[in-house]
This record gives sequence, C-alpha cells and structure tokens, in this order.
Amino acid sequence: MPQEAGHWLGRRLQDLVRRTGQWGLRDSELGVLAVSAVLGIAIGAAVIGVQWVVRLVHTVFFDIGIDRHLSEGRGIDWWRLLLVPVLGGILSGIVSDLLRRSREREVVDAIEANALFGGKMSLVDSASLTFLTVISSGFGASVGMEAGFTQLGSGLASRAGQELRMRRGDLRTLVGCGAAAAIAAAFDAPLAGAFYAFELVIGSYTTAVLAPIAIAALSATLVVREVFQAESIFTLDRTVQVAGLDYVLFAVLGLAAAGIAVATMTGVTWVERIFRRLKVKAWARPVVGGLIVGLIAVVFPQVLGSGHGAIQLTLDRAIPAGVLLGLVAAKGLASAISVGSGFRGGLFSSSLLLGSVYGGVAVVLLQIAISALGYPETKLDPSAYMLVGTASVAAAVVGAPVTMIFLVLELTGSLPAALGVMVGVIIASVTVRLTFGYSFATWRFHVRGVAIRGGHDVGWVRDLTAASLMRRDTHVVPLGMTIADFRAKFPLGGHKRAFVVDAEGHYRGIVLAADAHNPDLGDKLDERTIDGLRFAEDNFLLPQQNIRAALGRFSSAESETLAVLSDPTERRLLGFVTEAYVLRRYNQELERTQAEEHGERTLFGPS
Amino acid sequence: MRDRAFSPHYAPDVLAQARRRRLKRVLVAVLLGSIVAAYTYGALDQRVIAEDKNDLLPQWAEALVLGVSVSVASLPVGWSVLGRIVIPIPTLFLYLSVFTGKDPPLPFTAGFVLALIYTAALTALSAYLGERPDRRLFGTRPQAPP
Repeated sequence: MPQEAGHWLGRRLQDLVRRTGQWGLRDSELGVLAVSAVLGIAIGAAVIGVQWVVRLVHTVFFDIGIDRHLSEGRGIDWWRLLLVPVLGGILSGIVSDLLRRSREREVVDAIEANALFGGKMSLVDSASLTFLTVISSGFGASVGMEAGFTQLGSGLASRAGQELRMRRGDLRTLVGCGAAAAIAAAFDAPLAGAFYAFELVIGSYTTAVLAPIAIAALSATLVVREVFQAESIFTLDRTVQVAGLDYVLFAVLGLAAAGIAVATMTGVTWVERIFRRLKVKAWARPVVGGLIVGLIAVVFPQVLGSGHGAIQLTLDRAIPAGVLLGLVAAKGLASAISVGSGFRGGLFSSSLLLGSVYGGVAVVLLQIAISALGYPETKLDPSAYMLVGTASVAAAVVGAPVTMIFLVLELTGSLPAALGVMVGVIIASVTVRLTFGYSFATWRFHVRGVAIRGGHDVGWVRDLTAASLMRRDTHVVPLGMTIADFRAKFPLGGHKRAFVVDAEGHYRGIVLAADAHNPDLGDKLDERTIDGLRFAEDNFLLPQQNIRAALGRFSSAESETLAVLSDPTERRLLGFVTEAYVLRRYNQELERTQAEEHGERTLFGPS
Repeated sequence: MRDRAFSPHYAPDVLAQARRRRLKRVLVAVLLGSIVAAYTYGALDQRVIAEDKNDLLPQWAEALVLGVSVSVASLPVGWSVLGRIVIPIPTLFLYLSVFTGKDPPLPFTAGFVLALIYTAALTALSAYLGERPDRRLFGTRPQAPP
C-alpha cells in the first residue's frame, strides 16, 4: 500500500513537473527566478526539518532538552559522552559500507558538480550523504551539518533543474541557489548564504546570477524566520569596541588563524593516512574515531556536534580562558579525527567554534603582552577578538572570506566588528592561499586527485573529447604504396592528407599530399614508396582525451593533424582532428562560458 | 658505532630529501607536544574539587612537562625512548585528577580506566611517530640479502 502511494505521488510530481516545463521556464529568466524562489522555500523547510531530526537524536541519546545545544556540554552523563559517538561510529560505518556496496562512485558535491558536471547531481546520493551527516552530527561526531545542508539543497535544486530541462548555465545557477538557500537557512543569514554560493559554488560574482541566488537565499531565510521562528547560531548583546591598535592585532590574529586552519585541514589527511597505514577496515574507522572523540568529550564535551552552543558560551565568556586553550586543541583534534575517520560532515561550524575559542585565548595572551609592555590601561574587547578569530579561521578553512564577513555582520549587526573581521579574514585567507593553496573543499579534491580549485565551470574541457571533435572522413592508404600511385590518388588541390595503415589495419602515420607532390622528390616515383614521407606515427590521440590534452599533443608533436586511434595497442584509425579546428572550438567554448557567466544569453543562447 | 663498510652512499638530492623529511617529523613532534600541552592545561583547568587541585607543580608547568615529554618521545631519534619513559606516570596522575576533580566528577574506577587509556594512547602515538615501524629510518643499515 505505501509503495502504491509512493508510485501515485511520483506520477503526480512528474506530471506537475511536465506541466511546469510546458510554461517555457527553460527560455525565461523570470522562470528561473520563480524556480529559485520555490526552491528557497523548500530548502529552508528541509534545513529546519534536518536540524529538528538532529536535535531529536541529541535529546534521545544524550538526554538533553530539545531546546538545548549538544555542545553546551552541560549535564550529560560521562558514559553517554563516551559511548554515544561510538554508537554513531558503528551506525555510520554500517550505512557507509552498505552505500559503498550499492554505489561505488564518490558522491558529487555542489562545487564538483558545477566545476565538472555542468551542475548535474544525484538526488539519491545527496540524500544519502545528508542522512550520513545526520548520523554523524546526531551521535556527537565533531562535524558541522552545513555540508549536509548544502548537499541536500544543491541536490534538490539540481534535480529540479534537470526535470525542467534547464540549460547548463541555468542548472549551475540553480545548484548555487540550493547551496545559498541552505546556508542562509542554517545561519539565518541571507547575505552570507548568497556569497557562499558566489565564492564556492558558482566560482564568481556576476549580476546575471545575483537575482536567482539572492531570491533563493532570501526566501529560505524568510521561511526560517517567519514560519519556524528559528534562532541564530549566536547572538551578541554587547556593543563591540574596536580602536586603532586593534586592527594591527587583528592582522596578527589572522596570520595565526591561517596556521590553525592549515593544521586542521592537513590533520584530517594525517588521520586518514594513519588509519590506512594501520590497515583499519573502512567500516571500522568511524567506530575508532567515535571512541577517540568520546574520550576527548569526557574532558571537553563542547567538542561534540557542530559546536553552535559552545560558540555562544564562548562569546558569553562562560568558559574560563584556560579551558578555552585546551578547547582549541581538543576541537581541532576532534574535528580532524571525526572527518578523517570517515564520519560525514564538514568543517564549517567546527571552524567557527575553533576560531571563537582561539580568539578567546588570543585576546587573553595579547592583553598580558600589552600590559607587560607597559600599557596596562589599554583594554582589548574580547568579543571583537573572538569574532575576528571565528571568521578568520572559518574563512581560511571554508575558503569563503566575504561569506564570513557578511556572516558576522548579519549575526551581530555591528559594522565595527565587521570591519575588524575584514582585516583578520583577508590576512588569513591570503596567507593560506599563498602558503597552502587550498580551502578544505579543494584540499579534499586535491587529495582525491580531482584537479579543481573552485566552482568555475571547467567541465566543458572534459566534455570536449577527441571523440566529439574528430572528423571521420579519413582517407586511408596502405603502407608501401608508391609515391606515383599516391600522386594519382591524391592530386594537388584535392584531399590534403592520407592516413597510412599496414596490412593488419594498424595506423602507421600520416602523409601530406603536398609532401608527396614535392618537386624535390626526384624521379623513379613508381618505385619509391610513401613510407619515408610519413610522420606522427607515434603521436596520436585517444577518443577519451580532452581538448586540453589534444592541444598539448599538437604542440609536442609539432603536427597540425593528429589521428584518433581506438587504443595504443590495436591502433585502429577512428578519425582525425586538426589543430585549427580544435583551437576554434576552444575559443568558442571560452566565449560561451564567459557569455553565460555575464548573462549574455543572446550570444549562443536564445534571444 | 656504525660500520662504515656497510654505510650506504646516497646522492645529494636524496640526502636533501631525507633532511626535509626529518625536519618535517621534528615539526610534527613539536606540534603534537604543543597540542598535548594546551589540551592538558585546559583539562587541568576544569578541576573544581579542591583536593584534586593539590598539585606538585603549577598547572602550566605540569602541562608543559607533559607536552615536552610527548615532543621528545615523538622525535625520530634513538633517545626519544627517554620521553616515553617519562610520559606514563604524570599522564596517569594528571588525568586521574582531571576525571575525578571535574564537575560532575567521574567514579574513581571509570576515571582510573580512562586515565590509563589516555596514558596508553599518548605513549603509543608518540612511539609510533618516533619509530614509524612501517618506514626504514634514513641512515639505518639496509637489510642484508638472504
């Protein structure tokens, strides 16, 4: 019965999507705006739903009130702190193992989808990953939910765009809308959500994508605020005081924040490497990770979960400075171990907490240093330093500096704080970019061997393969053919080139008609063969090689024509490509991508 | 003393690479020691029960001693064993005082077992980093052919 109901619902949804598609949304800019608004509302509600499920798990397994945050760490039995993450590890290990068996490929996230796949994501994969993130965060692993939210939001948006048969550029924008709505809803911060999409998912800010992304972020925020009355992750009930000296110290703070960010990001890889070296089975890694997180949580319960409650405690100065120092180490360790051991989730929230406790420690140390230098009357505002620490570490880890500046501005409403944050964030981001070169997301791609540095559309490079570029009208001549016969078959002014194959049909090189008609060849042409005129015998392309590889091969082979072969051993001739055509297609695609980014739909799209 | 007759000869770039790897391992050891010191300082600061705060040294000194011991124990040198000798006793007592002195305190048995686990984990991790059983240390004698 439920299955029949599911089929009925599926049919109705498909019907609705088909009818909606008939409204001409594909060719309408207003249509894209309408879709992004609807998506924003749906994703805002979905984020609230997921947050509620996570809180329910916290309530049941950690025995805390539904209105309390896990990372406040108060009144939780020590054995729950120790054992619930282990239970989460067991569940996470089993579910991950089952998913790995059913789907061996990696889940494509929003950045990867926009960079490589033209915005195409699997909704089932996204839902699975969100489910794993709920298990991880719900059972206390030190990970943020934001990765799950953006995955779910982008997955939903991508699916909707695919059903509506959106163009590649619009689909990429919708994926950005999904991520923007998810972050806006999670933090009750529409500007931060929108710029998260610009900086990470779309890869650039253009006026063409501003409207749909802003609408998605706004509608998600409105739903969260007005319908669900959700609260911000932190509030600040004091005025932030920032003076001239503070800006210099914020720069120093940003510099050290970069070090913490790099240590945390590489820490994840380090933990993964240790697990691999110790040959721990993939399903058992989260169990071991959960045990270690549990052991840390018995001492520092604030490390559990995403850390929102602990951020508020830090800003309220409810945690002593000594404990904050320990918490910097504990949170960094717990996050690296959680992610490195295979719990799913991101470092967005974790880096916010890490940054706030780091800021709390730094302000104490800086105050001591200033007093020691003979200026005891100079008092630093701890709130400002905590905010700068929060945003600097998070900007360096997440790779979204403007997002973090807007996040602080929206959550505190303090312009002086935002200006101070700007200094720390810029220093931290630039330092990480110059020394390390990656954000956490791009670092994970790098470790996986995926060469992308952001959401810029580079997928067309992969899509333009030798197979799609090649001409199939090849003219084949046998090895050993005489030059006279060749001249007769290929007179000047006719076909420019011929491809030589041996008796078994294997490719053996190219002969140009111009070379065969060269007057310097002399006489006895009915005895001399074309074998000596061949070139590019060992330089060829394979069908799956992309346009960039093709251009590289043209350059290294010093040839204007290359054969496309079935494979290097069989060497069956499939077709050929010319350098001029490949260059022309490359330029066309560059222009199309640029036009799409700037919203010039008339260049290669509909008017 | 190393037998020169069996010492392998390495090209300069291999030696430079080995030096970089060695420096990296020293930095990892120092970083781990700093993390342990900060972690321990924060943990000790959580104690609220007076009799558990009755320490031999100031709190910062205890954390520092433990951090330095872990750093030394994680160094890729033969004498890192000295660090590993120092780690267990202070770790056990310090973390026992943390578990039984925090609010709310853990039962003594649970605190003792957890302190033992902390001790074993720190010793094992530093031993792993110091020895790296999966990698041959640079300069050690290659395996003789069978």
